[in-house]
Amino acid sequence: MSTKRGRIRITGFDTDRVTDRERLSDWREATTTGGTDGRWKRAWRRFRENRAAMLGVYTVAIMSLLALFSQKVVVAGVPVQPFAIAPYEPGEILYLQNPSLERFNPPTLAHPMGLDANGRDIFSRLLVGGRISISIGFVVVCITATIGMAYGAIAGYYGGWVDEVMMRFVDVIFAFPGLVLALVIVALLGGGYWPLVVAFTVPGWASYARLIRGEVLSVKENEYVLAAQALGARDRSVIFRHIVPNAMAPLIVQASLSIGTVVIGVAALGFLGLGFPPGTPEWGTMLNQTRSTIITGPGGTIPWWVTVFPGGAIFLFVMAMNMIGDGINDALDAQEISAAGAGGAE
Amino acid sequence: MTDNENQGLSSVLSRRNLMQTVAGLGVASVAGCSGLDSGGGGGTVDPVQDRVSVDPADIKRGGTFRAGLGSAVDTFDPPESTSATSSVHHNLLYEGMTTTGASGEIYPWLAESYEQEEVQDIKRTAYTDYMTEVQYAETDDGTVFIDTDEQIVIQHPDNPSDPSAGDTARVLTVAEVGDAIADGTYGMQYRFQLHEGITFHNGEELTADNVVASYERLRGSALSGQVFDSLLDVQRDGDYTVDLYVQIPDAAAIRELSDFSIYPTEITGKPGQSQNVPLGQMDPRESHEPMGTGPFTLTDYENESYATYSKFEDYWFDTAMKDWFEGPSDFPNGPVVDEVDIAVTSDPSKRAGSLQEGEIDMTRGLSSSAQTNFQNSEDFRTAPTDGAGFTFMQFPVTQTPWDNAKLRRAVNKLVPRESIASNIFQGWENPAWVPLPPLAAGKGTADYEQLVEDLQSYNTYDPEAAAEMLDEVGEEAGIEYPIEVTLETNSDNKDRVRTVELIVQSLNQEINGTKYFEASINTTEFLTFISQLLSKNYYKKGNIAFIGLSGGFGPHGYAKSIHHPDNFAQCCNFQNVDIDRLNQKLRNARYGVDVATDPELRQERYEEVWEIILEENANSYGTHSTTVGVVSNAVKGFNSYPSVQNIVGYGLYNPADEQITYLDR
Repeated sequence: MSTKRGRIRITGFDTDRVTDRERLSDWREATTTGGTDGRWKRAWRRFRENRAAMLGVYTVAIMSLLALFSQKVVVAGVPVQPFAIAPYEPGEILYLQNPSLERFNPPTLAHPMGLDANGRDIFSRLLVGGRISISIGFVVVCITATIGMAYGAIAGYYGGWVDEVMMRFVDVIFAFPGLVLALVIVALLGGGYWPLVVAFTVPGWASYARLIRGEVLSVKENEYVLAAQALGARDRSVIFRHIVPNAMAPLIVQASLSIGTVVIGVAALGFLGLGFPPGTPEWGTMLNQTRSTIITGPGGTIPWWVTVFPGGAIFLFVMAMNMIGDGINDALDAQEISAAGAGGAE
Repeated sequence: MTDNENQGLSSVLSRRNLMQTVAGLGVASVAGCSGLDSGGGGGTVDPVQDRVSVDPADIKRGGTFRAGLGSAVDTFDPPESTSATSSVHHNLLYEGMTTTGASGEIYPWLAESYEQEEVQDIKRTAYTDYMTEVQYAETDDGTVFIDTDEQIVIQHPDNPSDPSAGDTARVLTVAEVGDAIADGTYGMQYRFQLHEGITFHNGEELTADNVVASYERLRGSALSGQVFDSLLDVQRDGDYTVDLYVQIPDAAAIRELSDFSIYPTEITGKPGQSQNVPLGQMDPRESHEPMGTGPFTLTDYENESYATYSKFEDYWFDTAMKDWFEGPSDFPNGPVVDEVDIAVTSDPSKRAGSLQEGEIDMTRGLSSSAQTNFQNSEDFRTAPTDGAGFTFMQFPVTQTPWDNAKLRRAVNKLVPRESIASNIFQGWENPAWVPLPPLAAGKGTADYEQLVEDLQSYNTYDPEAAAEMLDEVGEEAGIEYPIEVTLETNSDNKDRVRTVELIVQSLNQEINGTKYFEASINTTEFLTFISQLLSKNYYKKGNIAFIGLSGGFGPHGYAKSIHHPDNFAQCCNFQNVDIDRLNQKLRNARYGVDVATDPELRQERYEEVWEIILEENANSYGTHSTTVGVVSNAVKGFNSYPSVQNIVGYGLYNPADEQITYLDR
């Protein structure tokens, strides 16, 4: 009798044989050859190829750097940022020490953007003012996008009456005109940086919530979500690990476009004389301070530099942000992504 | 409003009064209070710069004079109005027994003449026997007031200075003044002889009864504070004779008290009876047509938008009635324009645009640069007149280290007045070298130029001298530099904010390597800021307040309103300023038989007042205003009145200065 009697031997599952066998076709695992990219990497490549978007990025980067390096940053007596490229203090009234200067002096080499109604150097004020005007856009969008994302994801994931209640609240927020609500909040809280952040955050998060909720409704139907749930993952981890990352694309597009909107909104409030105290070098407030120069009486020359430069700065930044937003939109376009086919290279 | 002799701490404002004060300040905006009414006297120098005059033969009659002003009418009922701009409208409709020229001279108007009958050397304590006892009460928000419905005329000087509910006050109310006067207890008596044949807009003839009933309309009104600080009573003696009694000898009484508006019986009812039209309701918005004796009647009013007036055809005035009139016989007997339209446009640049586009003929309150451009244009004319407004910076005098007068004087030398006047106001306002403005120079000093020469050194910008004084103060009082301080002002007046920003920068400058101040600026919306200033606790905050106020032709208000304890927590002693020697000098400069009868003595006494003010420097005066009306070339003969309050009425017609405006389109 054979010593191997009574034992069943199954062949064909010999892993060595499988791996060492001759190739049946010339199919190769794509990742090992670099054939396809991850979604984000592919988007970044497409974004980089968009010249308008990259111009926007460079513009925003330069403006942000100018604002950052306009004045020293000192934290608790320690200079964190030692550069100061603004030639004058933004609040310095120059004619007090130098009587040869007057308010509304036109641009010269020493003052490339001229002097404003207070005899202050507009160039310095624009640089320093960028810290407020630019940063507030980013801060508000970070906060609103985060709140909106969490809110919308929860509403979309749980659905049912939770969704119903949460989205009706969003509708309530939408029922207020955003800028008017911001105006009311600024009037209640008084002006300043953080009150303005609050003023734009309160109406701002709702659009993100609605957007992400819609996206979550479709993403949560995917098998991998079911799989995660079947494996016993908790709701929190399902929402934030599996669903939200796959629903982020429209949120990012929306966020990038919103930064410009917020900057315009802050400037609008500043122009209305709300938001910041009159002397603040915030761009909209600077415009407000020189509003009356537009009508000068007969024969008067309009000191164009006091309005053109702050207005130009707002325009440039918002335009650049919009170009970036469009670029991101093109790069992350959801329809194009699905049309490319799963795992398929472009 | 600036002058509240009787409105001390003990008559603390009710909430309603507070809001009215606030409203008044709000509308006046630059100028805080509404009144060329504080202090008596008047200058003799014409404050109108480059006055234009008109040959009566050239005058063209008719046309519509269109003005654009910055704010609407709070009410057409003058006793309830606290806004300077509203007075522009009132002055077209209503008239008083006297009128005032641009230099502050007083002329009998509805009255044919007036005489000072008697001056008696008495004090307010002389009324003690006639006074009644009333208890103090407290409102929900803790404001203490004297609990009586009657108009209080005099409060006993010994009433508690910081009363609480339940305390007793001795007061003379309108119910008791009759007895006092009958017994011969009063400070002064003036007798007015009214013209006969003057008719109101409703056709009624003016008599002494109308004057008394109109005076009664002032009781319990928003203006009662500034009337009853000096007025005792108004009584009739026959149909056309009115006696006006003053509490104590008061050199400023005639100016302060004699020009209240007179209304017909249809509005006021008979003397001693209740008013036919309740106080505050003589207004088209309350369905009561405003009525007076003025040269115009109101034809249309659209709230917050415009008012139109048409000439009153039966206007009573005739230059032949006035022996003080020295002009040509063919000078018109009233305004020559047929209609006046006053539009409300709050934005100065919009008003400038309207004027430029020919939509209006006259406006005021434009930005300095716009005014300069209109001045340089051949198609327009600016009509500047020395104004009654001034700005001031009030120190927290009760708080360390600001209780040190030398420190305050040093800071005063860091106020760059010249730079403020030339850079910010482009010469349209003048540096306040002395607290007294040129407008009120007549009664406030014997020689204004000399006064400026003597006292200017206090107010010149001199950082070196300031540093020297600050070093001395530092050693003497152990003050360490830099001193942290916040300067506060209202955010909605750009030039004012600019002024404060400049002062802050001046304070923060390093002088000889030392930084003496760490000053910052805090701006608040106007009404909020005023409410803060009028609160009883503001002085404890330790901030420096910067704001503007309007005085008058008389010198008193320029000193008293911002220094006297009577004005604490009111307009405009916010910081509890109380300087004994100044209070004393102020009282002696206005009240008493000696100053009421001897103008030179009065001038001397005020000169001492100005020096004490600068020595103590509880307030730093910033600039004195210029009132600038801007007109198109179609407007002929227009000159601006020193106060905004009568800028239209005065420009259109004032025979005292032979002032008349006509249109030549």
